[in-house]
Amino acid sequence: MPIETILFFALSTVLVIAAGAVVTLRNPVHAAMCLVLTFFTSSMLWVLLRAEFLAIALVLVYVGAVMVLFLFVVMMLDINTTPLREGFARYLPVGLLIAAIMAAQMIAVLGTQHFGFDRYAAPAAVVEGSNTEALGRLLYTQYVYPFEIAAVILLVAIVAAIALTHRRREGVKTQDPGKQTMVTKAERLRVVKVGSESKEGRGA
Amino acid sequence: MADSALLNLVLWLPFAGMLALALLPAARAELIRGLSLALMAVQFALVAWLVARFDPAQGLQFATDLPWIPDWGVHYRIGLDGYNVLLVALTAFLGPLVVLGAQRAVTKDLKLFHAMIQGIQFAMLGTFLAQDLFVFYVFWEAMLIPMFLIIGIWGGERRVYATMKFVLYTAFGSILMLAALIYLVWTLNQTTGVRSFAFADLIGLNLPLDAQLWLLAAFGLSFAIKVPMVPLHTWLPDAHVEAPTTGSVILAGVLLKMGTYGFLKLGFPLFPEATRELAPWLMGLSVAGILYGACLALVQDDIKKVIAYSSISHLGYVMIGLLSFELVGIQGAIVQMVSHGLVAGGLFLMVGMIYERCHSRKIADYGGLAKLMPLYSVAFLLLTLASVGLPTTSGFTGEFMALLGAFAAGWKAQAAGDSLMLVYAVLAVLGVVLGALYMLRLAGALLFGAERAPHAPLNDLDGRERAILVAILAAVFWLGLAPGPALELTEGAAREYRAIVLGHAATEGGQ
Amino acid sequence: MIENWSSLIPLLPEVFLLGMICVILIAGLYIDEKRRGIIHFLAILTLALTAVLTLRHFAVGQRYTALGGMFVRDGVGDILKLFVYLSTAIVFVYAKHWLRANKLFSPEFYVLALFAVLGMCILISGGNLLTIYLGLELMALSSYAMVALNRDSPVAAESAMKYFVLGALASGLLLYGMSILYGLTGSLDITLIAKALESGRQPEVAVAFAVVFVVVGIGFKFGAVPFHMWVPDVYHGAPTAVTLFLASAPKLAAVGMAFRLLAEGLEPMVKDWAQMLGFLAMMSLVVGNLAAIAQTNLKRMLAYSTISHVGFILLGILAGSEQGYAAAMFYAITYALMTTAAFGMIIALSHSGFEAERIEDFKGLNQRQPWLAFLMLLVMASLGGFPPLVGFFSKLYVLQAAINAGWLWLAIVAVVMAVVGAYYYLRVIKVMYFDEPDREHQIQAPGDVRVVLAANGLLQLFLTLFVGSLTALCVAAWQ
Repeated sequence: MPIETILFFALSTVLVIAAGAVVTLRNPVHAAMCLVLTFFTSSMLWVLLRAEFLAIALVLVYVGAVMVLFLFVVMMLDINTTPLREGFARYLPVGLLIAAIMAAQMIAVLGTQHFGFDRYAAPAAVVEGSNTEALGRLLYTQYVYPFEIAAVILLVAIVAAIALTHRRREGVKTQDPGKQTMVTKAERLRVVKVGSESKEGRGA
Repeated sequence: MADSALLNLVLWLPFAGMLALALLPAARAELIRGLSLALMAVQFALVAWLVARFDPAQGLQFATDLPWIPDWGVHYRIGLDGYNVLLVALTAFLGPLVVLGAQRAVTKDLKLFHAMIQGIQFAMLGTFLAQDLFVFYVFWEAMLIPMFLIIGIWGGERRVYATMKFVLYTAFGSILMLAALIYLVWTLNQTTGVRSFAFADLIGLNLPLDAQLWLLAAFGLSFAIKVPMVPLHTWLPDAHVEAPTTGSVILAGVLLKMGTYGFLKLGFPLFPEATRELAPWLMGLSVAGILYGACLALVQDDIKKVIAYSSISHLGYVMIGLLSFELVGIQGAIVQMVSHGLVAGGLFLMVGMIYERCHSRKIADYGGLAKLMPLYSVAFLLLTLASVGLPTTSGFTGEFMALLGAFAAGWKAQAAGDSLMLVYAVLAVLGVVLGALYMLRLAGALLFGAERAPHAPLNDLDGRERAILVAILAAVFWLGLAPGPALELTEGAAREYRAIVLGHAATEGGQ
Repeated sequence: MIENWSSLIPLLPEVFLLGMICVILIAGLYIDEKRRGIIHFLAILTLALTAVLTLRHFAVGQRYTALGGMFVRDGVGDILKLFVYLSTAIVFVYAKHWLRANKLFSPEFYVLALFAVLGMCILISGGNLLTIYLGLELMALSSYAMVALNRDSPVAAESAMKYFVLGALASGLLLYGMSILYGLTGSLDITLIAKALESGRQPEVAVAFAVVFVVVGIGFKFGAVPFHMWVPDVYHGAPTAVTLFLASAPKLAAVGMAFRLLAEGLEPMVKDWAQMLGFLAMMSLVVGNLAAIAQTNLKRMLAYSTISHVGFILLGILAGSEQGYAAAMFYAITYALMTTAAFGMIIALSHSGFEAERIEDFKGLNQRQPWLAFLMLLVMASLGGFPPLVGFFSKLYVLQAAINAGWLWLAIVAVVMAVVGAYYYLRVIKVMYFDEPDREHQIQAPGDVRVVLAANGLLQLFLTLFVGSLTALCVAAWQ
């Protein structure tokens, strides 16, 4: 058995077990850590397929950013997850049944008889350079338009996030250095005329 | 060319008037009334000019034909012909009278009222003038919303019920007509490759008998609801009673004629074989309508209801005339349409006049008006006699000619061994007798006997009311004494209708 | 690869729009609250100039592609886009008054709406599954945010959540269908997919499977039954100005999307998807009309009526003929113009702290505001399909197309349901005209709202005269 096959089966086993653990573990932090493991092993699988860019992107984006954020949220908010799990065992048989039926139907329609290796040849390997370079080349030439649209979508996400969360609070004391330096004498200094005590007044 | 432009002006004047009225400030009541009346008067003058220039020897005149929706084959086609000339004249004639009649009765939301009157006038004229099935349908439907509002806003106590019933009945009929219309045009396109809604193109279409029967049923139901023919008449008494005077006048004067006009212009000529097939049945229903309407009119205690049921009865004569397929009967039917428009319209206006004074429509509340309001009583009696069909009035011309046609057809059928038509004709004559009974009962109860009125003292007719009634009575007597010119106008159309419905082979055998 | 910059000229309107959005976004930061009117003005100006740019290379009867077929300009797209700009501009005019009165007048509304318009344009012009999907997402994401714009309203937040979750689900389904299509045909390009499917070498079951998912995605964006659950809640919960927007322009974009995916990409599968759309159309007509009768809230009633109108639009599409597509397009255009007027009326009657959203709020409107009542009468009658208003013609056009394509039974269902539908529109008219008013109708709407509203309402009547030109335009788009 070639080493690649052995590695594939080993990694896949870890992947499946870890993914199972994500949904079965009671402690949310543990579940999140298992998800990290899942991502890691699947990025290993990408490497096996010689898709090193996807592998790195998966680790960077999901492990590095998404999961860390997720862990922050889980640990800081201390969400009580027991109510979410209520009835899990009760609905399990029905859920499994439905899942099994759906899976069977989809295999029947989209199984190897239509999408097998005999019908679709394996994609050609990148001839020159790394596949990161090849991907970049494609993104900035052939797919530049969708790429730009995706950028606009991200801009919308930023605008929407700010519009929905940013609010100007009343009564918060803050310094505005700009205002502080722009201050003029007239605003700060008030000369009060104090009338001198008159003699007639005292006399009266 | 100039005349066809004039006809367009006649049609679009009320539409422009509707918009102009909508822009006036609501507080200027006199201005609104004046403008509305002026528009109607100008319109009538224009129509009179056009009718005078109408050449009976020719068919369609003053026609306009502009592409409207080219992709569907719809053209904006209007024009004056023998079928519609008298009805257009009637509509334009009643227009100013309706506005005048509403001078005092309507105070609530004056602006909207007059705008709606103009809108309905536009829709009615459009229906009559249309020479394209699609244009006909759009105008036919367009009168629904204004009428809905007129009954619903200015009507009596149960106005919302009445107006809903009116709209639902009419909408139901319209949907059937729409379905038949789409099928008809589709068939035309399939058989000849022509995409057109023009009457002229559709009339030449030779359909198999069963298709004709279905289509006639669909068109016929829609028209029969408007006429109304007997099993479909139940909306009419409600609508008439609850409608304000103006609404009743428009309903009785013109709207009901749209149904009979539909039969005359479209229903029967489009499907001649089916018409001949169904003629005995339709004749039976018409006679049933005559008798049923007359019997119910006999037992009503509300003045308006008497006249409403009498409308069902009188329009039965129109149907009989049309179905006799005799020239005299057809012409009688057309005259009867106009006559009923004048007489029933006039009677409703008179009911309105007394209602304005006393706020009651119960027959039992009145008596001896001949002494209290002599002028009013004279006019009422004259209109009653016209309604009964006394010679020298328009009612006589119409009913007599329609019955003459029915008898002529009856004798012909008798000779062929079928006496049913003759029986119908005899029964229809019975309707005239009943008509005399209920109308004279009404007039007798109101005008004679002990003097009684819910509101005293009663003022007799003022100048405005006199003007209205003089105009109507003049028209009634003109049609009664000298129907010649009117008959001449429609003769060509009546001949054409007869030729189409009887099939071209039978034309030469006629008069 | 871009060899020649002039090949990008068809893209000019979109590029300009994006540039202006960025300008407005930045300008919004520096313009203080009193002068926000400038943003409003800029946004409308942007739409107008984009329309001018679109008209400069008006593509009726032509077809330009750019960027390797990812971007397509043709008659269908250009006409739909022009009406998207128009209805959005109308929305902006109405919305300003409402936003001011409810203290939501912020540049974000305009920016997000314009982003959504950009998404619609990309979607309408998408020649590639990728751009279609991205355009859809751009539009959807902006809409989700707009629904939630009123942060202090729990109803709005709830409806935004519902919209977002269901919308994401629908996007997922659509994406899944697209991925199967890609797997089967080996291409993301619409014309290549059609060509590949034409050859019939793909397994039929798998293609049908993909079609199901694509149809579900489209059905959701339209809000057709049974994917309509979000419609009433979102229409009801969203700020009225946003509902106004969501009810009009996105319907046009959805028609564009259906054209691209079904009529162009899946054209060889017309038998399959016509069946599915037939079911959706029937359910939408029945459920939409029957549920609308029971509503007391005008916004909810209009939401259900939208569902029934969607049924009519689908009726045109499923005819699968040029006539049918033209009819569906005609319907969507006229519907957008009707619905803006209907919501515009709600806005015109609303003032600070009061929302005229119940049908009862229109009681006796005729006695207090006869002109507005008359406009509302026109709009309701047009929605109900009463001749001679333009709504009648759009219904008739669609029915003709469906009958010609052999969908007689569905046409009958549609006609029966149209009569049922007429009832609840009549009810609004009845309430306005026959009932006595029980409160004052204060009108604080500024002049521009009144003028546009009047034009919008009267359009229902006057468009009748130009039905011929508009149908000719819709037909020409398909040649």
